[in-house]
Amino acid sequence: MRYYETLYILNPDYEKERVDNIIKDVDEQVSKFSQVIAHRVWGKKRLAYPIDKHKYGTYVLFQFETEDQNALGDFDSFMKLNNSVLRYQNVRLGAKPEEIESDLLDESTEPLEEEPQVKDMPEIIKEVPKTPVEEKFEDTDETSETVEEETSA
Amino acid sequence: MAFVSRKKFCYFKENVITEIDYKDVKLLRRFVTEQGKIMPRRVTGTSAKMHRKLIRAIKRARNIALMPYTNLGDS
Repeated sequence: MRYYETLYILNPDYEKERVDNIIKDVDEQVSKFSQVIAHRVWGKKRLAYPIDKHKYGTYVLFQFETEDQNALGDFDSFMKLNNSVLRYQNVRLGAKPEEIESDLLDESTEPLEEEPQVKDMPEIIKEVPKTPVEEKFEDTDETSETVEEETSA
Repeated sequence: MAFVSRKKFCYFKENVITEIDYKDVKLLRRFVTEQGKIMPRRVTGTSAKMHRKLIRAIKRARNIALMPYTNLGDS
């Protein structure tokens, strides 16, 4: 028996009903050859990069187990041909999946802005030398330039 | 400006983590640069074994748009 996990992204514009329908479709397709463990919506999240010009996507997490590995090819093509699925990824799990951690699922939709905080990282940019003098020079340069431009124009 | 060597340690061994989940973006984010590149082992101090698992997790997260391939420009 092998365990698999598929994470797929649905079109974010779909309303809840439509999402539920798609999930039901996928469920039906998979339950033909396997046993569904968990299938739930992760939520609407901001994509790290746009897919088909979508900035957001509805993530759905789906876990199942099966013995019939040949049927996975069918599942793959089913997902590929499903137009409402922007992207999917099927991963084999080493062990039976535990309950999905709620804190993972509750993560905010915008984790992209967060700064990486690693305490054991060598501080490469620790001291930025302050250069107020240069800034002043730049300022004066800019003003003089703008004046020149105005006069020439 | 004397060179002070810092004791490196593997984050995963320290915290007794044996499997890295690609969905755990918060954790993975520690091991990529601002540009989204995977940091080298010599910087992070990750053990070879966990670094391999880390790389796989990061690449999976990238594929499913949880993490960026690159942060250059406004992508």
